[in-house]
Amino acid sequence: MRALIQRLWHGLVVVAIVVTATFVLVRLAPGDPFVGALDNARLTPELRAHWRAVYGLDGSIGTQYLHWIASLLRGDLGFSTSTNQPVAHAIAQALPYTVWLMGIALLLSFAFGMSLGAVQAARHDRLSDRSIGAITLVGAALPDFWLSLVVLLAGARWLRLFPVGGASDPLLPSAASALTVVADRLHHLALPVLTLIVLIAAPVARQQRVALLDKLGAEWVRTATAKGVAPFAVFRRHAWRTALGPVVTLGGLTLPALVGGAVFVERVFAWPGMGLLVATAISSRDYHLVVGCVLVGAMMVIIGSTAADLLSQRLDPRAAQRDDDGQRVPL
Amino acid sequence: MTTTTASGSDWRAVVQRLRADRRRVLAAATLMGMIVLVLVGPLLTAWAPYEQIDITHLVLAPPSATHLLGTDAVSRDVLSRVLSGGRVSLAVAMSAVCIEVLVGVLWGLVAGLGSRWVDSLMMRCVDAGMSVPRVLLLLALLAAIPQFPVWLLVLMLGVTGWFGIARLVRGEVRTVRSGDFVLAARALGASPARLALRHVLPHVMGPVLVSATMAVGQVIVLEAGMSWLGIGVQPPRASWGNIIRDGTEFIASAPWVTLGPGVCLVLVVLAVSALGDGLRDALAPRQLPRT
Repeated sequence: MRALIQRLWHGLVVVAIVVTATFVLVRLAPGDPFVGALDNARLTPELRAHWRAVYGLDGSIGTQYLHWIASLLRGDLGFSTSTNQPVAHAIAQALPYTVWLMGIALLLSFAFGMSLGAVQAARHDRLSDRSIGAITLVGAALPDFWLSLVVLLAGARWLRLFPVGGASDPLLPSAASALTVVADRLHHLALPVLTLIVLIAAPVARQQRVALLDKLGAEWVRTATAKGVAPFAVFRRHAWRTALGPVVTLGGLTLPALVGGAVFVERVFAWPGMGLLVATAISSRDYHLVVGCVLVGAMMVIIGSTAADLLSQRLDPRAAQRDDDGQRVPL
Repeated sequence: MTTTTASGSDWRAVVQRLRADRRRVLAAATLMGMIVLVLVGPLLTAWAPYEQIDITHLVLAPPSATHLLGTDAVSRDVLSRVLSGGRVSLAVAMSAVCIEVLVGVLWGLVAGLGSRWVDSLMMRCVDAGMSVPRVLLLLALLAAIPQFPVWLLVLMLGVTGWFGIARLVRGEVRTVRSGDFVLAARALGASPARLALRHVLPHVMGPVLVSATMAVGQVIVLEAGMSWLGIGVQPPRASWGNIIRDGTEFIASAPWVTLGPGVCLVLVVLAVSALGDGLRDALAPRQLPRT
């Protein structure tokens, strides 16, 4: 319990550092939210100053920061200049799309990746292990944006089976039955989810395989076998169960991708989620929206990695004894 | 995860173990082949990478004997661009990784040898850096600069990528620093700097090397992604990412512009990660999964 509180405290510090750094960084970079309006010769300096004040972007960085913190404590994330609505609204619109896409993709990727890894470990060094290994090696080497393009090209252009982008068909009649709507959503999900499965499942399978092989050589597995436990039960209850830790940790590490790392996939498939939102926010210098997205993202990452740690501690109580120094270090 | 690290003459054993594995040799050969190809290739092609050969008749021409990878939308030979872009992509990635390693190792050494307080503060910064997707950091740093030089891209790729290495080095330093030989050196009055560089650093170089190898693959993909977004290597200079960007608009009618550089990307990343895997196994043979 003490450890949990300490972790959350550390997490809070991390979020504060991230948000503050982002806050300063977006303001230090050249350009400002009115960069598009700069072309307009009729926009006088007075007018620009007026709009700055309206959006809370006047004064030094320090005062802006204090103002922002004060409104954050009131639950107000500020106003988004590029989408012309409160930041909270913009995020509330985009977040469900990302959670929906990523939730399905993560679930399927881990199920698929872990099964592949398990098959490989069970058939170690046989043909099936080697061929799956070759496939996952390639899968882990595919650049995200390029794979998205290729999947799009193959699925929407060559096979002509799937829509080229978006989350739903804008021409769908509003009176369409629930079944039609669900089918339409799934139809639009298929290609981006497929892309993400390839990208995420490959490292999961590799991690699962190595972890399982490691545990299969452990003393307690040999003991169980010697006791006469059936091979499948040994595999499932003595090896697989203990090998879950590294996979769960990988799950926690995949979470940064959940929020913003999908920039490329969302962009190629025109998926209106957080990745697309934050990319447009950054390129239009929408300060409040950028900071808001980063805040939400960092919080999700912290919560995710804490959850992953708690879960792996439940799976392997010895992990709880590792302190800050003994932290698992991903290579 | 502590790895037993080779140092000094052990490196010969590492190389030997690497050479014993055919897949690793193949990976190394592929990588060397690609490097030689992008170094020598541009000297052999008949067209300059920026040259618009025949803007009226030879736009988006499919691959043929004269243009092995076809031509792009403004009649440039894609193969020439892929070769010259490969130079840029590989050079950018390798230089950026050098910066990553430099910053990461220094940061990790100082944090690992520093007092509890310093360590905690420095590592929270690392956590912070790791909790923001790197693409977003890069976007925030570069998106608003209209035309930036390649060195700035390299610098930014470097300063956004060292967190993992810092954490790795710091972890290793923490394990090593209670070792007898470090205690002995400290007792003999070695300065903290000497302690770090002469006694601790050699022990962390192995894992760092593995990490750096893997990082090259990541950075190549990242640079390509940034260039694909238009926020990386600036045209007309080619890089694999911005060639794919040029091809994206015409992907349905002229997929070769996109597929050619993409396959190169995959090959290099594949070779680099296989090499990194092999290096890790060769450095810590006791860590190999027992069967």
